[in-house]
Amino acid sequence: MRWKAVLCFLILISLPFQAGCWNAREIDELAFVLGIGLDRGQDGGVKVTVLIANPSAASKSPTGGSAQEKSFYIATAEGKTFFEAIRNMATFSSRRIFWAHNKVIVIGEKLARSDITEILDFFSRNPELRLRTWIAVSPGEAEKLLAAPPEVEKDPATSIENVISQRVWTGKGYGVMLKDFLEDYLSTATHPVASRLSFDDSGSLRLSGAAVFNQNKMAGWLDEKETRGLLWLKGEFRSSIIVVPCPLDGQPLSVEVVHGEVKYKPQVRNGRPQLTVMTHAVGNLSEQACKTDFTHMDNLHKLEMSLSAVIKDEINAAITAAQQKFKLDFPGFNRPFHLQRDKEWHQLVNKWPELFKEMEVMVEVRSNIPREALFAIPLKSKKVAPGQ
Amino acid sequence: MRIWRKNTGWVRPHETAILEKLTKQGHDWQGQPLSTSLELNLNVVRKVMGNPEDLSVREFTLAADTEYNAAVMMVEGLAERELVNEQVLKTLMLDVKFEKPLSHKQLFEQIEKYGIPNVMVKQNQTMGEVLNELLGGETVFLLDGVDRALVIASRGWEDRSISEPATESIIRGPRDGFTETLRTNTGLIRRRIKSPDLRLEGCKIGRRTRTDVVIVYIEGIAKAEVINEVKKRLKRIDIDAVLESGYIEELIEDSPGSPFPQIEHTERPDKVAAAVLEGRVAILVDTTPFVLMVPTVFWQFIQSSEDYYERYWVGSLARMIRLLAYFLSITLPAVYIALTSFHQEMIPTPLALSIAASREGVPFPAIGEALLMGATFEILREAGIRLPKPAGQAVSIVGALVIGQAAVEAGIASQAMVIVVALTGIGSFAIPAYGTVVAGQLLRIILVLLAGFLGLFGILAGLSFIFIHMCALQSFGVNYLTPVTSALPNDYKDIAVRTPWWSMRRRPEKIAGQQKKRVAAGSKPGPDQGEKKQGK
Repeated sequence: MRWKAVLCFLILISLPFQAGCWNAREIDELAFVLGIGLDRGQDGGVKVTVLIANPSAASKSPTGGSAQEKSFYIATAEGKTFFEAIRNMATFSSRRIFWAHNKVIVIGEKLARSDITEILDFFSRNPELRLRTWIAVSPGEAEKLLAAPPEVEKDPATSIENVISQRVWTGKGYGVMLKDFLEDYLSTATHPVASRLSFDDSGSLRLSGAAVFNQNKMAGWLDEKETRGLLWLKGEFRSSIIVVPCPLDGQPLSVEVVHGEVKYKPQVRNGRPQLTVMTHAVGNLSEQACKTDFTHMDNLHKLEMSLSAVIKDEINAAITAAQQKFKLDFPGFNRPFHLQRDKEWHQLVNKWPELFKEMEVMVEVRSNIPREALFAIPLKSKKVAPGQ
Repeated sequence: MRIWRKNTGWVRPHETAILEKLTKQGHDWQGQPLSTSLELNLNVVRKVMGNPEDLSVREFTLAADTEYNAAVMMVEGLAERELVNEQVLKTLMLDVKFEKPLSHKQLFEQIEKYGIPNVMVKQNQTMGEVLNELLGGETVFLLDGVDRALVIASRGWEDRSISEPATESIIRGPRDGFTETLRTNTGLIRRRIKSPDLRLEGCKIGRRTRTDVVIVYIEGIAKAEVINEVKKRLKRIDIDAVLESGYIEELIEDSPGSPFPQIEHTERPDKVAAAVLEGRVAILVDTTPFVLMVPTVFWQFIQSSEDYYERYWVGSLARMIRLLAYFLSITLPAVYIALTSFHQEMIPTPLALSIAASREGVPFPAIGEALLMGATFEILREAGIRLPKPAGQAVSIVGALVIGQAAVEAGIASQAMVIVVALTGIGSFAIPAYGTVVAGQLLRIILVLLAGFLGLFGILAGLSFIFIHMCALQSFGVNYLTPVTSALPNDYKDIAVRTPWWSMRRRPEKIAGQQKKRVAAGSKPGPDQGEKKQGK
């Protein structure tokens, strides 16, 4: 009995040694990929640009040392397929390339316009890659975007990530994570949209507009106004500023949207879909150049009306882009039908691309500027104007 | 009536035979009745004890109409010499006068009645009893011609005075601690619980040490089954020596193979009093300040007596911090290893980069680094305890430099690992019970190995195994994780938090016996205290 127990114990003890630290890799032997850029290669293949962190420089405190060691380095590899290009990277990388900390995938316009099926497949198949990665399209080469020296941050990937996550302040750019992009990509009727990342004239990073995809190919760009409309339609518009002309003297006013919400009311008449988009915006008046006193309710109502008009205009721009310019349901108008008109949806789904183009979409916008007491009469100088 | 020659030192032939028989190797002198011969009795004692130099025998003659030979025996160092001189020799030799002619027996009885001014005087009849009392520090009075002995309480050895417990320091609360003397210790408990229901039952354990062991409980609060179980287990012990309560602990615990201590021990009388009032049974052992308390549940080890003295917010917060510290001290190095060598994707990017940077140039894998640094810490801790105090200080300074700075600068360990090891080491000392800390070290090493081989999977497997093991443990019939495993919502009030006294109205369900009520209903104080009663 005793030797049996001893034997059992020995077997148990030796079990972990059999496993032998499988898949163990020390953290200092990894090359942390922070950003991936994908471009069309010279011979029709794929060119992969990887932004790899240099840990010793990246973790150093900014005050420590004057030695200007770069906190990241860029590696590029080409291959006939995406996966081959990635494996080719191992021919010159001394460390194992580790993808799990990747923050952003930037696709060059050329590649995006040809085919991204393979890329999406790789990114969703590989367990090391996260689905919570930002996906963006660059009008130029993705490589250049990644290699640009960052201004405040330590590496370009972090600055891209921060620019995307701060998009709510402007509401002019679109941000999407790979998981949401894939969800649209795989859905029956919605077409995916990715961010648009570019350099502005001064050479700094800029997030504006969006890239619309038709299945696996990029179809075209959305401008800032259309992107705003898209954000309203997706219910993602918050904290951004809307510039509204003053209803009385036409001077610009800034309204900060504190709450934006959208509701869909789908209807099917004679086998034709009809959609009512009901938007509700709540804003604060944050800046006013006109001299109107908005503590008067009448004036305030007028302001709310013009706010609604501006929002409606933006939304209509997005709808026009979807129905006429691209003829693609990228705002996801099929979803309310799917969710609320389930029975009819099954008859619509096969004809959706055609039905969508001609679908009647009504936009209702309701705006509120509730915090009246917080803004009194605007600042006004009492000095006598010259010549009077 | 025979008259013996005084203090002759020689023994008659037939007595020599008895003496030889009595002191022969292996002879059981325990039950041997005393002889009427003073000489014989003294010689037996001398012979059995090997005529030690600390045995004082004073033979004298009582002043009466006839000469009565008598003797007083004591062991130097155990019995108080002043007391013997004052209460026995002085009274018998100078003060007391016996007028009438008396038989030896009458004289003996008179001496017992009013000859010795001491609170405890009792008669003994056997050689064994005499020797035991003598070695326990009492004084033995023998009168020639009487086959009895008088035992006079005279225990008085050099003793450490009551001082603050070294192992369990607290900020608010009583500062007295147990000493090595059993009688002092029982007194400290009695002083706190003046109820006549407080029961003290003694026995002697240890064939050679004959150590006094006393169990303390409150009749009516403690469970009868637990009391009987304690007595049964104590009775079962057959060991030659008990030098510390740890001997008893190991001989009566439920699962000797477990790394978790199943019997709590303390140096604090207030803690023992609280335990007894909850219905536990305390086991006091002579010659050690550490008192055992049964039954024990796991949560007691994260509880300090101070939790009950400070306001309940303070106590509750402290307990949660201790629980966190205990959990961290067991799992932190393992989690660090698992994350840095298997699951780097689980670390936030900036942290992953700084860990990677700090590990650059470190020659060992993370598990090797953890074991090395852990071992260094343990060596320093152990050395710090063993070294004489002035040197200990120096060692800990050097140790801190060795672990903290030199190892990192030399590239042997990474800064992140130093932080982990330091946090682990410090965290483990947030737990008031030292025994649990040591058990935690064992579990930590096991988890580190599992994490090094199998990553988080290994840690979870290990933790599950530990948890299952804890669920299976018992201490004197009470589950180790009570009340969590037994679903006793009322008892949750005194686990990870300590609710105010007015809300802890009942004693622990599984530990106390019949009298479960502790605090009266409506004890919650407020601004109108007592007014409502007066008004109506």
